[in-house]
Amino acid sequence: MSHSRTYAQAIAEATYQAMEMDESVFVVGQGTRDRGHIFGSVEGLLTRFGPKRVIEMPISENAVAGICVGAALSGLRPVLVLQRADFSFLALDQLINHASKFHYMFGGQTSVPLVVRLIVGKGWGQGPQHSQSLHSMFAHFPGLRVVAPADPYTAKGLLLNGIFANDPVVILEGRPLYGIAEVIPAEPYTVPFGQARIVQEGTDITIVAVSFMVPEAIRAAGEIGRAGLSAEVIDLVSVNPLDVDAIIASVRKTSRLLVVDTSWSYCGISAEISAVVHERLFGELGSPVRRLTIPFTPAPAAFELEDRYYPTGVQIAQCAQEMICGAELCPTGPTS
Amino acid sequence: MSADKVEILKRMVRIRMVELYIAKRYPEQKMRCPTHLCLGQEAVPAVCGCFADPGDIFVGTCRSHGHYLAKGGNLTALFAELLGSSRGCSKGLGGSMHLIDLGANFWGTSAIVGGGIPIAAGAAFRLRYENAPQIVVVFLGDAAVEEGVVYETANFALLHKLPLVFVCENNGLAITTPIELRQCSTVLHDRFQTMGMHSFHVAENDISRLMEAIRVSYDRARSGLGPTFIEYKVLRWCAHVGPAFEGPADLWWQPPAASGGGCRCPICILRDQLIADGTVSFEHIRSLRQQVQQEIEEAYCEAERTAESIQQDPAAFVYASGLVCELPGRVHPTRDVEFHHAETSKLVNAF
Repeated sequence: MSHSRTYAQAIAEATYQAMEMDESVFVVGQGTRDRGHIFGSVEGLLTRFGPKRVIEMPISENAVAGICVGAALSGLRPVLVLQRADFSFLALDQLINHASKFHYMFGGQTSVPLVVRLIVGKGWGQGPQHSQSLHSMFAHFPGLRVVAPADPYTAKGLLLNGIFANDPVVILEGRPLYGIAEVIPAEPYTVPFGQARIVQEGTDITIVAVSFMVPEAIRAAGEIGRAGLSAEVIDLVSVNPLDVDAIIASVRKTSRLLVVDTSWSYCGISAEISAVVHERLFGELGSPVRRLTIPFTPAPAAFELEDRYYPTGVQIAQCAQEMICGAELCPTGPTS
Repeated sequence: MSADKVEILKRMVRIRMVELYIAKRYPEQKMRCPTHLCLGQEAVPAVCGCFADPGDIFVGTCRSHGHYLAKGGNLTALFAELLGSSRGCSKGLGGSMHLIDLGANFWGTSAIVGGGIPIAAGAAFRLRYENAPQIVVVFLGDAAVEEGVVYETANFALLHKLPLVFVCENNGLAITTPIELRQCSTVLHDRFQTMGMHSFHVAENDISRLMEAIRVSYDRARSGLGPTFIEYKVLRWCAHVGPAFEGPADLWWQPPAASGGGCRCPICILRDQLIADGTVSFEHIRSLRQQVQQEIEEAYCEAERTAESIQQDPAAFVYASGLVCELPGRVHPTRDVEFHHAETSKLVNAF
């Protein structure tokens, strides 16, 4: 059985099914009682599972994260939802100093099966403190799994995989992706960590895109396709661990790599991917690895400025074409 | 009451002697990790441990040798941990600041001030979630009360009536900085009272009152009345970290006259009470010392004899599960790649 679900509905469905399957799964977040149901991503849960398992949190991110850690150590499987990824900075002591290390520092005797859902804002002037894509930062720390699904199928499968993992999992959800719909299996299924998704095969260049840059990369591939060039589009999906094999295999085939990210290039995942590819494929590259990311500033609120802030399909296509055809370098703009 | 006091005295003596033993052997440089001793602070662990049920959960701090031992944590595994042995309670990966003994329901300690507090509340949350009869005791120092997370957690614990007891050992020091330079008031418990939490303030070395406070707090937590905050004034004799200490740590087993008047040693004070009312004799005290000394030496010998550096690959402890996780009670479905790709092309067209 399959049915059409938006990204938000796929998340709600995964959570619903996990809660049906296992009584130890509970959800805690701000706005669970709001009629918006956290952009629809917790819709139906309160009605079905009641206030015991759908918990409205005080605005105490660090304590609530720690309470989730303690509950997870006890065998429960909390799903903590923060409406904006930016709020997770207030919970970093518990997520980084505690959740990510408890399994290690007690010699494997304890585990923290915790899912943290972080929603990354974009559009309508979200501005500097509501738009940060924090996957690179979370990926820096051993002990966490970090994923950023870009489509409903992956969002559902990764959330189910995360809920039933015995490690802390950080899921970065792109708010602009929430309305995207596709047909997905109705029954529960999992998507493993560490797997990139080859969205479209191609031969001339590999474009690795993260989160809501995936639709832009797909658009760019279409554009350069009309110019007779062929791009392979990879949705990175898993930021820690990185699907190095998929990226290397693709770049070995195309000999060119363009990484497109929703976060900063400086010390970001795009730098890591570039380093890995240069380390493994230095002599085989047809051109240096390029990165298209947001500029090294906070996100502006003004509509026109925000519009220029994120890489677009057109810019990605232009950069890819220049890399393939050896024209002058990409114009300055979205690069850092 | 006297029987409890004898038991508490024994536990205090054991903690004191373990700490003194560590202080003595520490300069040998076989125990090489930051070690925070609790000399002078033995009363809280002893009383809390004495009244706890085996199923009750303790969560500690970086200064938790006493809490660990009082809950029944394995002594040999403690020494082994300090020696960096893979036979240590945390397999040598945690050191003195990360002790655990799940069999004794001692659930671990954090080296971040206040870090264990919400985790303890999470453990208490699970007990309430499952209507379990146990309670959680979390230890903190006065400096943790400067961390926002303690108030955040207190609020949550009150809101959800968690079976949680906050036990604050107020030694007035953050490393070496006195509380007067750090806090707007040197009394801590009343802020929690203002939030609506039941609280106690116990003067230094008033062990009878401490016993009463702990008993009442445990009962309240067990009967669904929610959290309690206990503030106990205490004197830390040791340096913040390492084996140095000042104070009459080793007088307690000598004839009471040698301790001198006005002694602030909690063990001497309790001992004198119990000798005065005829519950124990001085000979009891001496034989207790011998007995505990023997236990400690045997445990340390065993830990040292079996000490081995980390045998396993420590990287194996970073993650608890693999990349693919099983759904409960279901056959893991393989991903239908063809199906998915077909659907993705539709998505591409949608853009």
